Amino acid sequence: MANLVISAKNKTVTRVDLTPTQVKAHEDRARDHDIRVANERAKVNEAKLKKAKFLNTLTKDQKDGFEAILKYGIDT
Amino acid sequence: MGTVSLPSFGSDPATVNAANLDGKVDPLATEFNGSIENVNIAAGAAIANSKLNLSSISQAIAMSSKELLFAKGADVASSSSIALGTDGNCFDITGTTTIQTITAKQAGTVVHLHFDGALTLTDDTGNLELQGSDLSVSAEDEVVLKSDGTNWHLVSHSVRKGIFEFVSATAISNDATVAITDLESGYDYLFSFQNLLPQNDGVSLEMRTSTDNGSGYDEAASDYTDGTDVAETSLRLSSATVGNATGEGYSGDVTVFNPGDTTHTHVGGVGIQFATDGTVTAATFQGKRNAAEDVDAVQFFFSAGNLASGNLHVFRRRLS
Repeated sequence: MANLVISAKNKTVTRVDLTPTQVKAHEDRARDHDIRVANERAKVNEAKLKKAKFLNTLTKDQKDGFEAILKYGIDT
Repeated sequence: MGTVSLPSFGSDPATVNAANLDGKVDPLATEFNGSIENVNIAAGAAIANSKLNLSSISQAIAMSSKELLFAKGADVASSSSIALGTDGNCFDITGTTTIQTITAKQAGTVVHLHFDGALTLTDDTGNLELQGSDLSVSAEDEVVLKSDGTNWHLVSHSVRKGIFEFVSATAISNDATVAITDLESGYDYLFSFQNLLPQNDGVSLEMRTSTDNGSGYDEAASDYTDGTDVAETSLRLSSATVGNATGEGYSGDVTVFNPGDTTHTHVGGVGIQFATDGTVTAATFQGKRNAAEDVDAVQFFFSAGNLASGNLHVFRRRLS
């Protein structure tokens, strides 16, 4: 596994093998990504639940008005 | 001899003497010298360089299918007053001393100067007419000047200020990261990705900055602000849904504004991202390094896995 390094001054292109520390950082990054995606997915799911709960409190007219605002903006 | 016409020699003389011989030979020599044409010159003939003087020519010199070869003269060291040699029309200017005067040459003379170091050409103090302002040149710049017999007038300066110049084109192939080092102060940089495909599915393109030319990259918890948060370990340039199937991936331009300046380096741009479900969205992004630093390298990577394939073109725009 290598890092691609481009010199903007000398216009050289080299590939440098990852050091053990960089390999670990690469693996940690994948793990952090999984955690981050899981957290974001949890936030989205939580938002979806809140949205559903909120919509259930509205009458049909209120829902129609809410959807109109989402579609056309509040100033139309 | 083809085109040389023989003159009239008249009747043969009764006696061959010097005068009579001259009378026969001289008209022939005169005719030959006056009527010599290209076809009369043998292919292997050479004109003695001691006889080649074009100063009296008053007509256009025409050529077809040939090049005009100029000579590069000896290098000239920069100083307040310099003299260009007579050994060429192209010169390297060494050193970094301000130049005010260049010894005049014949009106109409054009010289090409290549600068080995950064220096200033002063306008209208000596005999340099530089269109109203001093001219700062950097190493590798080219300047063309034309003489009017007394002063030198600026014809062109090779540096294309205000537009992006090409730096490099590189194919990405299963690289853990892509780093661009040796970023110089006084430039904006544009990093243009084409058909960048991640190794892993559903990832985001990220960026970090360095102040030690890539020995290390800033990655602390609050090093960056982007569209997601004000305290990030890296700048997020796409959503975390970039797909790795054929036809998915990411293409976009990332502009880093004057990273060499000791300010909070700003980053912005726009791209298109094809997500894991095949849908496409615009990926506009903006952010900054949360510290005033002279950034001299940047690093791109996906949030997980390698950069599997794609192309990166690097451009830069000089600011002054």
